[in-house]
Amino acid sequence: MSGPDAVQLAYPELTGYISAARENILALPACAACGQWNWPPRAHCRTCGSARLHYRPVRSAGTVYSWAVSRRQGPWAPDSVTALVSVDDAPGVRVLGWLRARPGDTRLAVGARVRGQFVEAHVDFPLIQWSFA
Amino acid sequence: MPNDDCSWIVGVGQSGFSRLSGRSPADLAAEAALAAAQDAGVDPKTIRAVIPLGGSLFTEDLICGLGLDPGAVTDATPPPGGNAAVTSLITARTVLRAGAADLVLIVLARNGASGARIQDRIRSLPGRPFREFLEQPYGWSRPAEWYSMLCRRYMHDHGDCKRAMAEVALVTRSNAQLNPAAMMYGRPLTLADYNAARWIADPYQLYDCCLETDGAVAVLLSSQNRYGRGVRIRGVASARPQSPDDLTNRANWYDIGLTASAPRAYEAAAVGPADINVALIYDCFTFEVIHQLEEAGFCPRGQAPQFILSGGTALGGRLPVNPHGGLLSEGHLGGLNHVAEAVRQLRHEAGARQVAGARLAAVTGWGDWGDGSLAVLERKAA
Repeated sequence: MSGPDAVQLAYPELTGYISAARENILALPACAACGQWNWPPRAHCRTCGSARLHYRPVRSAGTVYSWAVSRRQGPWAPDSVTALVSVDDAPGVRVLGWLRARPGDTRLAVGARVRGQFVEAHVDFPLIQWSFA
Repeated sequence: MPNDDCSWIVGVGQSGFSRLSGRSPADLAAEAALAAAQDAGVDPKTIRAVIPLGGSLFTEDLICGLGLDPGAVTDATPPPGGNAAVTSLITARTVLRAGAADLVLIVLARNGASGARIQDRIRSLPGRPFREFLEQPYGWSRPAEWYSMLCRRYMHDHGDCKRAMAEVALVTRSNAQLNPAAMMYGRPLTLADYNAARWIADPYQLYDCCLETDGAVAVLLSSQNRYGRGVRIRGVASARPQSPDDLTNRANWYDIGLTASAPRAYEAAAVGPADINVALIYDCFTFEVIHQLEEAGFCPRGQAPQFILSGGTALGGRLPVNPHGGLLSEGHLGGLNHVAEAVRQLRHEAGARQVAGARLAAVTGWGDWGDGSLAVLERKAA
């Protein structure tokens, strides 16, 4: 699967995120020109167009903006829940990840508070897994 | 006649050339494009059309890289996704207006069920690295999964709309029983069938999702009303939403391309949503009918479910939607089958499913990350 070189080749703007994730740290790009957080990473700031985007660590804590259940077989747990999480420390940024929950869990709701950690998975870089806080 | 004096090359630019750039095509493209704008002495933000070449670049890459207004960029060639059926009308109109041709043929053909399925088609989408590294590893990789999150959020903001979603599926399936060309002709659906169907991506079950179809549709446009039974494009507009290559971080999830393009199309047509007799809505999923009825101006936000449940979208209702059965029950030909049905309705040739006296039809497009368009078509019999 995709190793660091693959990330560097296919998506150079993501390398700062991947190297922080290997240390179990959530890092997101912020614009040095206008201060806005950006996600997903692009070469240019989505607000002002500057190319001066730098990764900064943030707390991996936030609120569920929406969620979905994939009922499809794959290299993940059956009926795994994906959640889009608004990150507390990075206004305007939502980070997609797994949510440790089963369909039908009463805590599974928009607005639920969650914390994230990076886990080893089926690809060559860690994936973020959210858990109810 | 077209005048060659109206076309001048005013700027050129390029990136550095190498054997290992270490940069994304979007980044390289932005560098070259900025250099061309600088060479011409123009503000790059004033560019209103882009023509991405070579296969690894999308219009969205230039919109994001140059900070262009996603609502204002014209597609010189129709985009790959489901918004293309309506934007192709704009492209065809541009060709006709330029006098480059007198007849323009639009065709969509694919073996969407037996050959390259939707799952294959969506491998080439704007923002591909986001998909590959930040979405697909989690199993969030199909339109049903992406758009179900929109639906989930809507339910949080406006209340549970699952019964209205069922009604969309039932109404379109019922309409398909009046259309011998529909894939689901002769295969009626009950609410019990709908509720018992397997889950695809909560809250979507099987009958919330469109069909996959082998087939083709063609639409022919001319600069003249040949044979006196033409249907006129009275107004058409298309737009991309903010964050056009990404759904997850769009500031307002309900703001899609259609939100911006619908008012423009109505203005160009000098009519309003209340004047429309029949609507062809891009029904890739049942919730998308709810969503687009609202963004196209047919219902205020949050009120389409009630409109649907009160029978407003059924044949005989205030605004019949997808009388042919739609993508859900006629077949999924990228919405070009919606354009064809609008033409049949406006010619009053739709048989048992004819909307009586139809004079104005609206067709919406929806594609990729929320590109959206609206065409107002008008009966113009001789």
